[in-house]
Formats: sequence, C-alpha cells, structure tokens
Amino acid sequence: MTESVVTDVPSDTRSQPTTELGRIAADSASRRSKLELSEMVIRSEKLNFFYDQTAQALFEVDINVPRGQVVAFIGPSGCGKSTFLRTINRMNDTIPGTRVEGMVQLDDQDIYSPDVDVVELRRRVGMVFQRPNPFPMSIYDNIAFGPRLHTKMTKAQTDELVERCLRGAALWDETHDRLKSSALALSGGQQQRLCIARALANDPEVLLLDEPCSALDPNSTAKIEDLIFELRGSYTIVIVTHNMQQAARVSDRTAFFLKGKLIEEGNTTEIFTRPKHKETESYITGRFG
Amino acid sequence: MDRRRIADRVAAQVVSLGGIGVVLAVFFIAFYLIKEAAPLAADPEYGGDPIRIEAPVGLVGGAEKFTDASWRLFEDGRLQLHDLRTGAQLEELEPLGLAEGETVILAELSVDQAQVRFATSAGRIGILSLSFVTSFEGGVANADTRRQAFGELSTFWFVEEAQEAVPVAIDAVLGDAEARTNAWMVAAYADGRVALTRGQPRYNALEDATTWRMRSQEITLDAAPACVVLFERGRFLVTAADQVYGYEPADKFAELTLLGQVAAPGGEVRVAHELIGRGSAIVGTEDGTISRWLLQPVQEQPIAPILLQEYEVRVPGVFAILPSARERVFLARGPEQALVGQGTSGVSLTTFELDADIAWMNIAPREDYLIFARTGGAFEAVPLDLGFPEVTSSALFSKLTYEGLPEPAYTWQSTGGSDEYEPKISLVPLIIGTIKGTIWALLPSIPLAVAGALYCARFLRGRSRETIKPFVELLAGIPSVILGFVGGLYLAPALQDRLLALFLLPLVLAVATMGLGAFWARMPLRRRKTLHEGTAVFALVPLYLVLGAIVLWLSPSIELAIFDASFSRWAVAYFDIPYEQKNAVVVGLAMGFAVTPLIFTLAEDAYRNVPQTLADASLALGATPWQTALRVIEPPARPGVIAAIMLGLGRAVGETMIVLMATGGTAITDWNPLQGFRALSANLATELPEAPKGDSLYRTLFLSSLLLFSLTFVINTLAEVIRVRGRKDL
Ligand SMILES: Nc1ncnc2c1ncn2[C@@H]1O[C@H](COP(=O)(O)OP(=O)(O)O)[C@@H](O)[C@H]1O
Ligand SMILES: [Mg+2]
Repeated sequence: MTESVVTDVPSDTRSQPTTELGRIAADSASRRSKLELSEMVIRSEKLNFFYDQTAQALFEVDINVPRGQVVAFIGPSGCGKSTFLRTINRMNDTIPGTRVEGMVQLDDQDIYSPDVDVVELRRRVGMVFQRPNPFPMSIYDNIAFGPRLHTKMTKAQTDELVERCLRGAALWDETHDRLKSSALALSGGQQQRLCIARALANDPEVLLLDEPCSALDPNSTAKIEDLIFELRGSYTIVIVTHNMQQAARVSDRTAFFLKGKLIEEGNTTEIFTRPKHKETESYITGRFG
Repeated sequence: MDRRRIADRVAAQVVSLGGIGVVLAVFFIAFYLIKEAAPLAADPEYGGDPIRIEAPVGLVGGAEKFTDASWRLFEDGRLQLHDLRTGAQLEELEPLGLAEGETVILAELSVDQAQVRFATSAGRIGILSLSFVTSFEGGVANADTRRQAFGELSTFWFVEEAQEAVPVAIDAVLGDAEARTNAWMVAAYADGRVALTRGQPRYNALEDATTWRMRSQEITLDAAPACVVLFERGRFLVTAADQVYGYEPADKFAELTLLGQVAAPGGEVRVAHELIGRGSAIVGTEDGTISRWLLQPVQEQPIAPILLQEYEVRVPGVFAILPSARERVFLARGPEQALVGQGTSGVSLTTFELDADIAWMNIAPREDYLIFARTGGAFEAVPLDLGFPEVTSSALFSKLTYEGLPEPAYTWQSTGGSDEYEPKISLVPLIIGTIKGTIWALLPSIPLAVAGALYCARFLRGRSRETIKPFVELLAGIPSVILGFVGGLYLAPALQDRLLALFLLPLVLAVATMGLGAFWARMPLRRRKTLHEGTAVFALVPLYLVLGAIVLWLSPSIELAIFDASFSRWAVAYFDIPYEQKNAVVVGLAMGFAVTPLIFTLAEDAYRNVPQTLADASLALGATPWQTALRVIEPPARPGVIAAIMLGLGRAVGETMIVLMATGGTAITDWNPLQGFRALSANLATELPEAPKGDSLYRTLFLSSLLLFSLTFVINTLAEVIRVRGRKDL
C-alpha cells in the first residue's frame, strides 16, 4: 500500500517538480518487485492514424510495451494518447472514416491484418474508460457480460468468476451482499473498479486505462492506484493520465506524447528526473499542458 | 436582469397555463361524451301530473300522437273523440255501419295505433283505419291552439257477410294496393277452426279502382284456440292450451302447412301479441311467464315457431300485451301490475302497480304517456319516460337473435329501410373491427419500424443516418385521407389482381436478404472493408427493387398458370373464405404508412438516447455490434420503444379516414384479413352526422366514442408512463 497523499500538484512545488516527481517515482519503484524486461507485448512501428483524409492524429509512433509492466501515457490534451490507446484494441474501427498506417503488434501478431478476429482481440485487450460506464444491470451481470459473450457457463462457474473478478478489483468486500442490485447504485469510484473487474472477467493480457481517475475523488483515485499496483505483473497495463504524480506513482515506464508524436519513452524514474527532451521537461514541470 | 426574470416568469406562466388548458380540454371532451351518453343508463320514469278527463270508457281507445285528444270505440260501433284539455266531446261517428243489433265483440288496437281490428256479433271481421287531422285555431301554430279531429275513417272488411260462428281471436293486417302486397287475416273459433284469409289487390285501370279478392284456408285444431298472431306473408302463430303452433299458407294458398308446434313455458297461453314490424310476438301464459317468439328459420333449421327468451319478471294473471308504436317495447298487463319489457334484448325494464279500476290501457303513440281508461268513466294520460330501452348492455355486447336473421349474432346495423326496422346496435363488431384494423396495421409496422429504428440509430453511420430519419418523418406527415383513398382506390384493386405477389414478396425478399447476408459473411474481410459496416445494407435497395419488380411482373403469369388466372378467386374457392376487395390487408398496408413512421421516429430516438459509452464498453469487451445492440442498447431503450409502439397503437385505434375509405365498412365479426371491417372510428364518421340528435342511436354513438376515447386515452397515457419510468432507470 502506498502511503502517499494523493492531491493535485500544489502550485508552490511547481518550481521543483522534477525532483519531487522523481522522488515519488523512485520511491514507488523501490516498493515494486522487479520485473524482467523480457518480451514486448505491444509493439507499434511507424504508426500513423487519420480520423479522416486531412486530420492526422498520430505521426510515426514507435513504441514497445513490455509484458507485465505499467506504462503511463502523458501529454497535453488532444496530443493523441487516447487515439493511440484505442488503436491497440481497434476501438477506433467504430468511428467511420478512420484509417491506420503502419503496424501495431500484440504478441508479435499484426492486429490490423485482415484475418484478425476483432472480437478475440478485444477479449485479450480490456479497456476502461474515462467515465465509469457500468451497464444498467446488476453488478453480477456486469461482470458476467464479457464471458457470456464468448462462452457458455454454468451458474457455479459464473458465480466463481464474479467473485474472483470482484476480489481482483478489490470490490468484493463492498459488494458481495448486493450482487443482484443495480450497478448504477454504486459510487463513482466503485463503478470504475467494477469496470476494471468487468474487463478482468474476460481474462485479458492487456488492460487499457484511459484516464480512469479523472472523474473520481482523491479517495477513490487512491484505491484505483492501489489496484493497479496489485494488477501489475499479472496484466500489462497502459494508463493514460493527466496527473503527473499518478504517473510517477503507478508506472514502470512513461511515454510522453505531443501533437500526435511520441516524444520520449523510458523508465519512469528517469523520465521524471532526467528527461532527455526539452518538451518533456517543460511539460512535467508544468510549463504547459 | 429584471426584465429577463419577468420574461421567465411570463413564459413559465404561459406554459403552465397551456398545460392546464390541455388537461381541461381533455376533461371537457370526456365530460361532454359522458354527458351525451349518460341518459342511456337512466331508469324508466313514470308518474307526475296526469291529464284527466271524464268520458265514457268504450271497448278500446287511445290518444292521437300529440295527446291532445282521446278516442274510444264502443260496443255499438260508435267512435268518440274528446278534447283532453277541456274534456269536451269533439266528435261522435259511426264508421263501421253495423246492422241493427250487431255489436262489436272483439276489438284490438294495432301496434301503430292507427287501426282497430274487430269482430262483430254477426261474425263479421274487419279493420277500422283511424286518422286524425290537426289544425290550429286563430292561425297561430302552437300547442295551445292545436285542435284535433278525425280524418278519413275507413273500414276494410275481411268477412263482410254475417256468419254463424263468432271468432274468439283475430289478427289482421291491411294490404297495399299500390305496392301489391296482400291483406291477411287470421281468425280462431271456439270449435277449433282457424281460418286464414288472404286479400289480393286487383287494380282495375278502367275504373281506377282496386278490388280485393278474398280467399280462405282452414285447419282445425284438437283443442280450442286462444290467441293468434300474424307474421309476414300469411304465416301465423296460433295457441291452444299450452301449445304454440306455427302455420304458413303453402302451394299458392292451396293449403295451410304446420311449421311446428312448441309448448309455451308456464302453462296455458292467455295472451299473444305482435311487436312492431310483425317479426316477433310476445306471449303470456297462465303462471305469468312472458316470452318472446319468432317464426323464422334459425340456425339452418326450417321455419318454425321459436321460443326466443323468457322475461325475468313474471306478471301473474297476465291478460293483455300492449306494444309500443315506436320500438320493440311492450307492456304486459296483469290485474295488479304491469311489466315493461324490451323485445330485442329480452330485458325486463321495469314494473309498476296498477289500480283495480282500469278498463283498458296502452302506451301513447309517442311513448310519452301511459294511457288509462277507468271503469268509472275517466280517461287519464300519465307522463312516461322510458329512456332508451333498446340500448341495454346485452344489446350492446351480447350475441342476440334478431328478427329475420338466421342465427344469433353480434350485429351493428343501426338503421334500416323502415320505421319498423329492428335496430341492431352491438358494439362488438365495431370493437372487433377496430382491433382487427389495428392488428393488421401493426403486424407489419412494428417489426419494420422497430428493426429499422435500431438499425438507423445504431448501425448506420454519418450522413445516411441523418437523411433517412427526416424522410421517414415526411411520410408520417401524409394526410390520412390521401392514404385512405390511395388504399381504397388503387391498392385494393391492385392487391386483388396481385394477391399472390403480396404473399410472395416478403418471402422472396427475406430469402434474398438472408442470402445476401450469407454471401457477405463469406466474402474475404478485405473485400468487406470496401463498404463500411452499416452501409452494406444499401446494396439491398437495388436488389429489393429488382426482385420486387420481378415478383410483380411474374405473379400474373404464375396466377394464370397455377391458380386458374386469379389467386384471389382460387384462394376463395380453395380455403372457402370470402374475399372482399377493400379488406383488412389493404387497410394494414395503408395504415402502415401512417403508423410505421410514427413508431420509427420515436423508437429511433429511444435507441439513440442510449449513451454511446455503454456501446463502447460492450464493444471493448469483445461484443459484436449485434450483441451490443441486443444486450446493451435494447434493454434500456425498451420502455421508449414500447411507448413508441403504444403510440402507434393509439394512432391505429383512433385512425378514421384510412379505415373509412379503404374498407368496405361492413360490421362483421370475422378476423379473416381478406375481408373488410368497420371500426369504431369509421362508424362514428359515417353515422353520427346522420343520427337524429338525442335519440338512442345518437347516444349509442356517443357511448362508442366514449369507448374509443378511453381506449386511446388509456393507451397514450400508458405509453407516456412507460416512457417516463424508463427514462428514470437510465
Ligand atoms: N472521433 C474523432 N474524430 C475526429 N477527430 C478526433 C476524434 N477523436 C479525437 N480526435 C482528434 O484527434 C486528436 C487526438 O485526440 P485524443 O487522442 O483524444 O487526445 P488525448 O486523448 O491525448 O487528449 C485531437 O486533435 C482530437 O481533436
Ligand atoms: Mg483522451
């Protein structure tokens, strides 16, 4: 459990955020178990993305995400973080007129190759959105939704799975006595953890979290961060965040996007203590963004 | 700032005023409908200030239609008229021209109270026709200046020569020389003889005069006959002891044939009388049982006397049946009390006590008074208001056997050729018609509109989606008159010629759609990508057009080759179902143009209102677009969609012009889609303008409009409730 107080960066610390954030990053890194930087789960090469003929949102993005690690995407609004995230599970396909150039690989397989089953891809790559979006059903049915799409399950199997996922998302204690009640009755933070549990139910390899805490209060944010800490290792996690401290706290690696380009990517402690690029430094010191 | 606040205030006031106004309007309409229909439920009223004069009693008598004057026929053949306001005698005549010492021994008032059929002590039998002349004193026409006098009085003799035997019962009806209808008379004698006399008109052009050729046939019963009632064409009922016999003249009047013999309920028959129209008779028996009889074929049986119904209330000692001149209502009179009964639905309306000194009585011609002659020599008219006795719940909602119809039925046929017509006011065929029209309108519309809405809201992309909806909404704006006459004038005959195509088209198109779908699924992904998901459907449009044209073009040849040139005729013969050109399918198709767009737009809104974030969550979990639509989009949208369907239902139920113009409008209770129907709404549109204000048809129509109003009101309210509830859940 991290003890850090989760607040927005106070204005008076803005003068020396690099060291402050670097300290947080190093501190949290020290608590985490070391993971082998063995294989890359997600790999993109020269990825260009277009919303239509003229609006290019990503430019030549090359990035590698190692298995089991937590990677934070940071960068100012509109720089393409979400767009990139959504190329990984091909959620951009749902927007008409979009086009992808280059390559995105999941476990060495090009996910944009014509014979990829999008349904299977999305099962393997779970996603949690900025605003909690539980289905207007019971907690139980929310969790069981994904697995029920793909397999037939007995009641006992489903019960077991629901419990496992809720425990996995640290929500079991709060909800085990009201599994059949509406998910909409949960608090915002609980709803977001439910969404994580719902994604976990599909037994994914990768979890994409798009600003999962931006709609939550500090307390709920802390719980989500704890959860990410727990999930690390079992799942490869990509998290988009606007909160530098959060990036520093939860991630092993950090990638900085600007205007559709990946400016810099590397070990979180390093990015926050010794950023190589000027833009990165100005962004994390709060000069723009 | 202040100004804006004032504007806000005013706007809020105006809006809430408008809302209140709408609610008030609805209440007002409901109130008005109820007010007009309510008198139907009123009980008969009897009593109040009677008109009373002193005058001799006579054998039989009555009042003319204004109840200004009272007439009486005496044993010696005199006929008197008295003014009911002054009590003065106005006239005294001897219209029968009886012989010396001859007296009237039997005299009975006809239903319309314009004739008296009588027999004399000399065995002569005839009909005295009465008429009255109304004049106004002093040139001012009002109730006070109105004066009555006898008009032309004439006697038609069936038996003009004196006879040995004197009848115990007679019934007779005049013929019409111009219309060449026969005069009929039946007389029963104490020795068991029953004689039927026919008078045939013979017009002599040279003398410009009509002579009547009389012929008689006789039968003899075992027991002494008691009562006779003539029906149409010389058929008659005769009773002897507790038996009711039916006879008809057969073989060109060569003989009388027994049609049947039925025991009357309650012992010996004491009294029998026809109701207006001579389609049924009321019989009273020893123990006071009152029953209604027909003499007609029922349920494929040959013509026979039929005991139709017994009245709930008994009249002990019943000895007279006094029918109303206006409708199938009668008074069964016993020594102490009288029953008012209704013919068609067999309902006992009311009973009242009678004084002991009543010599004779009847219902005034306009049903506005009960008329009494008291043995002491007084004449009384007591105000009477029977309300609307024909409109009973069983007349409205039950299967009834009507005069002249072959079997019990739910029938709406409110008016007929003559005043004697028996109104048939069952709302059941109209309700069935409304339901049938609604079903056939909604059956194709619901799946089309709902599936289309789901597709448009959740699968179509970009511009196509934004253009389709306004176009469909444009369809909803077509005036229903236009749909109605296009349906009636074009679709109905077109459908008859191409009925086969109607059956083939959905089949062919469904197969083609699924075929194309399967083909599409087999296509390599790369190929599929050339069309966006959701746009592929437009490939179906040319396919549909081509296939539709082919089916329409080919179907006549198929009909020619397989179905003897016409599928509709073939189907009629093969399935033994009637076919009507303007049928429910035509209405369904025409009404589909009104209902489908309505359901579509509302359902589309409901589907579109489901947040995209839910769809995203589902897709991100690996659901296909179909799974997303059915499992995530559909459940929260369902209340809205149901509300949309309910509103479509409300529209179909209340729709008038289309059902009016695109159906034949026959009020049948058949669900066969190839036959027409008559809906509540269309019935109102056709009949209400013709209905005399305030009469029973008028009020019955208001009752049916109240039914329609509540039906649509409930449906629409329910739709709104469902929609509001659903919104709360989201
Ligand atoms: N559905 C869309 N259609 C067109 N342009 C989009 C769409 N979504 C995002 N964009 C554009 O793509 C760019 C990147 O957006 P996004 O990936 O959402 O940024 P971020 O998540 O980093 O804030 C922005 O300029 C944005 O305007
Ligand atoms: Mg974003």
